[in-house]
Parts: sequence; structure tokens; C-alpha cells
Amino acid sequence: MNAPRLVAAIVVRDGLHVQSIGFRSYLPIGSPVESAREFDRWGIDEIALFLLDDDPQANRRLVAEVSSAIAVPLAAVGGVRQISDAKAYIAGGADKIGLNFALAADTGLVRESAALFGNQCVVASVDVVGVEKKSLRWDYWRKQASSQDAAAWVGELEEMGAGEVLLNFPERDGVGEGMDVEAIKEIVDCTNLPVVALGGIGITTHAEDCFRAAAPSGIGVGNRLAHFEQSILLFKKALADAGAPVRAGVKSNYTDSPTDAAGRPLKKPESFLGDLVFQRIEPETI
Amino acid sequence: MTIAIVDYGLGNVGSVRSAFDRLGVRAILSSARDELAAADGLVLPGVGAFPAAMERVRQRGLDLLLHELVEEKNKPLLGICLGMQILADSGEEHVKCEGLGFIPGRVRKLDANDMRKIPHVGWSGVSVGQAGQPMFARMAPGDAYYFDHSYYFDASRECRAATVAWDGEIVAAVVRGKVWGAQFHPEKSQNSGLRLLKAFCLMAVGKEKQ
Repeated sequence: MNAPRLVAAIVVRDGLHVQSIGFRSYLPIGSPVESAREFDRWGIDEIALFLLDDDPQANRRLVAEVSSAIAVPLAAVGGVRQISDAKAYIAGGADKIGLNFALAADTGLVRESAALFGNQCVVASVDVVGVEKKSLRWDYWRKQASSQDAAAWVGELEEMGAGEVLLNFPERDGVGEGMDVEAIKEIVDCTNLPVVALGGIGITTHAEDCFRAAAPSGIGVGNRLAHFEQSILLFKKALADAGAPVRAGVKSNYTDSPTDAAGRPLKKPESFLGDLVFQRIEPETI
Repeated sequence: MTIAIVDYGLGNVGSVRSAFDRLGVRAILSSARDELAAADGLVLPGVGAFPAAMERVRQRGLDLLLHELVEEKNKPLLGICLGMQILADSGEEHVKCEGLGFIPGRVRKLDANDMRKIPHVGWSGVSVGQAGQPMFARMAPGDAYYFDHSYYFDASRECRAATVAWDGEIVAAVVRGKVWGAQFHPEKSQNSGLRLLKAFCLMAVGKEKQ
């Protein structure tokens, strides 16, 4: 089994990394390049850059800047309207391109991108809302649920040549009260494509719950990573405790640390801290 | 030393270059004969589909040039992901297509089943075989690499440097003399990947014992 990926979602609006709430309101955080650099340093497994700005040149520049600051895979989601946008992202250092509302207008873009870059490069970004116990595709333009079944839409995208699915949940975005694990499980079970699920994580337990119930190929975290110290290490500890074969990535870890109910680390015993003084920590070499 | 990243108009060259930057190695992007010939080692990157890549390689006359540099001048070459797959005799992505033929074997599609999703995407450790000793000489315990592919290189047994668990085992890296290939992306695998790129650089300048 592959280690499930911990994916950092960086939402960019007006050139800034922002906290996104319900796909409607946005609070500024800071430079997307610096956020990406720090996530990489702390051992994130992948970065998804959500480009909301309607400025192709700025988007392309940002993809290239982020890519050169990190050494992990980068998915550039948003702003791809034609194949030349996709080419520019890839040339700038993105490993995958994410297509969302461009698909509604021109589904040929999936086929065209897959033929040029291979299926593995094409991520279908699908927004999902629950309506009367059904998971429906969310219409980005109208900001409301469409009548289309989300799982059926994922099936169509797979036929067209998408290589990965990125699920997002507008109603849970920025709320931090947990993921829609039932909808995630339904879609994971009905597709052969790897699924990355995003939206709703407020504490590490939410990622654990998602892994236990649906075991997606990747779990996306947005705001929590930007607002809480050491959060990447703590998410990895939580997933490892749930039995997931996570990748360590960096030497530091919280494997043997006790945590509180919200997943924050507690102080270790004095005797343990005392012994640390006599341990030699070897620096990592390349 | 200088590493030349072979420019054939496809492939995620930005991140390969920044990985060498991190190692403090000069890397240039080129398809010019004199620049490739002057470099200590060549890197063949790759994102894309097999036939599209081979078509571009041929259009620029790079197939003949690479044969000359690698087979006659013994120039070190590292293929990454699709760049590794086109080292094969042939591939069957979308249509059957001839490869560069540096490493015996064929590129085939992975089979999906209930347990295994396609593409194979994510981080995995590898099992290193005898042939892979020089390539993975600097590997540290716990090292994992980032994979993202729907096709795999069914390379001949003596050229398999490392394998990764799939439905059974599939080839993760290939080697034949100074031609190395990695199915995963060392440039996207943090320090684990940098260690492999450093091993390649040291091999290219004949200092692999250090």
C-alpha cells in the first residue's frame, strides 16, 4: 500500500495565500511561495495550489515560483481554460494540472491534456454538496448544487482520461468540523482513480476519521496547516496512529508523544527530557 | 561539473533544474550538440505520453545524438519517469511505439484491480537489487520516492536496479552501465531524491567511491 498523501491546499486570491471559507469569503494569510516553502520543509507529501485569480500571466508566474521553492509534487488547480495554460503550468514546474469549471465548458480539454502529458498529469477537481442524502456536483458559477450525481460525473471524467480526482466540499470549506466521509467513501469505492479529499478538517482526528472510513489516496488540509504550529508532523502522527503507512519525510516526529483531545502535543515527562541532553543528534546528509 | 537537461519540449524541467541547484550543481537546459557533448552527465526528464515524447525527440534529431553520446562516448544518462520509460525498446501507451533502446524491455500498462488504483501515485520505499547498488548507494533508512505513472517498464532482469510493491513487484529503477533510469521523480522526492541525484553526479565525474 502506498502511504496516503498529506496534501497541503494553498488557496491564492489577489496573489495572496488566503483562508477560504465556504468558497465565498477569504481572509489573507501571506505569501503563497513562503507557505509552500515551509510546508515542504516540514515534510508535506504534496502541494495543491488553487489559483482563483483571473490573470493567466500572474498564475503562470506563481506556479513557477512555487515550484522552484519546493521539492515535492505540485498540482496547479484553476485558471486552465485552454491547452496553452496547461502547457505553461507544466513548463513552469507543475506536475499536475487541475481542471474544474473548464470541464463544464470544454470536456475535450481532459482528452487533449491526457494525450499530451499522460493521464497521470490530469487532475479532475470536483466540488460536491450533499442534498437530501445524495452527493451532487456543485456548480461553481451559480454557487449552488447542480442536478448531476457526483459519482456519475467522476465516472465520466475517468472515461475522458483524467488520472486523479480531487474532491472538495464547498459547504465544509473553512468550517473545520470534519469531512463528509460518507460521500468520500462512496466516490472512492466507485472509481478506479486515486482520490484526494479536501474540506472540513479542523483537528487531526478528522483526518484519522477520513482515513479509517474511506482510505482515500490523499487527504487535503488547508487552514489548519497555516494556523497551527507543527501541524504537518501532528497530522502524520495521527494518520500513523490510525494504521496508515505514512511517509515520515523529515527526521522530526511526534510518534511517541502524548496528545490531547484536539491532537495537540502534551509535555513529555521530565525524565525523558532529562535524558535527551545526553543524546547525540546526527545532522541529515544528502 | 555541468549537468545538461535534455530539452525536447516536454517535461517538467523547472523542478529538475532546481533540484540540481539545491545540490550546488550547475544544470543547463539544452538540445544543442556541443552543449550536451560538453556536459558531464545528461538528464532526460519526462512528463507526458510515450509516443508524443518520442516524436519530439526524433523531430529534434535527439535520438541519433543520444545514441552517439551514450553508446560511443559513454556519457552518463539519467532518465526520469517518462524519460526513463523511453530508454526502453518499445512502449504501448495509446499506440505501440519504438523507444530509444538503451535498456532492453518494453513499457506496458498497469492493470487496475480492486486493491490497486491507476495511476500508481504516491510515496513508496523501494527494494534495491544487486544492480542498483551504485544508484542507491546514498539511500538512507526510511527513504521514500514519489511515483506517478500508469505505465511501467518491464525491463530485462539484469537491468532492474530497484522494484516497488504493486500487484507483485514492478520496476522502480533501471541501470545499464552509465545509463540510469528512475520511474519515480527524484526531483520531487525531497532529500531522498536529492541523495539519488547526488549519486548520479558523483558517478558522472567518476567519484562514486566518496
